[in-house]
Amino acid sequence: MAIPAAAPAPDNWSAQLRKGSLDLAILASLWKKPLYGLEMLRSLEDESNLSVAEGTLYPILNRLRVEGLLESEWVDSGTGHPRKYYKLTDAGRRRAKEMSRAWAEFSDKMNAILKSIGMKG
Amino acid sequence: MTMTPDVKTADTIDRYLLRFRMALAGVKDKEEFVSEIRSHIVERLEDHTRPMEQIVEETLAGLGAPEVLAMRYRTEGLLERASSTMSPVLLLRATMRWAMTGIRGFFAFWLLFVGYFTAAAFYICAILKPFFPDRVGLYWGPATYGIGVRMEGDPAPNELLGMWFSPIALALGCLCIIGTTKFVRWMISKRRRAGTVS
Repeated sequence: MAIPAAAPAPDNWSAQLRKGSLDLAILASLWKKPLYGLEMLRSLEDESNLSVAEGTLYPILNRLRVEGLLESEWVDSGTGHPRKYYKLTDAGRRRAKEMSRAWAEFSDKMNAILKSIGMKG
Repeated sequence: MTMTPDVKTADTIDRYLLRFRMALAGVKDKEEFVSEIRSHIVERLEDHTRPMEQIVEETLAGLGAPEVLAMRYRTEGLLERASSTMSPVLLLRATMRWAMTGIRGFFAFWLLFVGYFTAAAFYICAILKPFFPDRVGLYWGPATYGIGVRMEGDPAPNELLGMWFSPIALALGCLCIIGTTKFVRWMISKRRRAGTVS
């Protein structure tokens, strides 16, 4: 007898959606200027209300750096301790543009579908 | 200007970083990661509007248990190396760690395990064929169907491949290893491109 697949709980679905879009959000936050970790968290929260756990951000930053999408540099902050700033490499900028384009296309398609249930945007 | 933490708060931070450092044992760039997390905690202390003890408590909670945080770094590092390796050991280690974080990781580990196990079975059969030519092979009826070692009953008369069995089994073993490795590497690359972090 076939067992029907359980639908993912809405909370789990939102979490998966957020996870899948974190790379793009981080790359986008660095588009204008280099930022350090805490500054990035605040920027994401202020500009998009996207709250990212501190313990999630740093391993991602490290992975993006290893992939060659980001560069990092320790800078003396003038407040008594150094800060590690991240900035986009050329490859990072190209990846951010590609992801941004893919996101926009996907979003348009989803919005078209959502029109039918009156939940556009 | 950064506030200097009191003895108790400083001790809490030091103990957290010590556990983090220990959990990162053997990881390249370990000190770099510890320095960055220390910098993050110190940066948080610049918020002068709340008690320092509360800030530290919230910050450490946001970072998560040091062992879990270290595991995230380890997993990312292992998967990064595994996405371009042909080493079965490294792939098994990476997918085993990935399996602890979600169903896709578990599937990748299971697939890798089954693929390598099947390849090993082909190799063993290929090696045994010259020693037990009537007991190892590709059988097709009347009572036995399949590929492998037949230990009981009369030797089946209709073994199809004869002495071609060994080279074919070796080739199939190689195909299993290469196919499984490439597919799991693709899964890992896809996972990394998607930016999944547990």
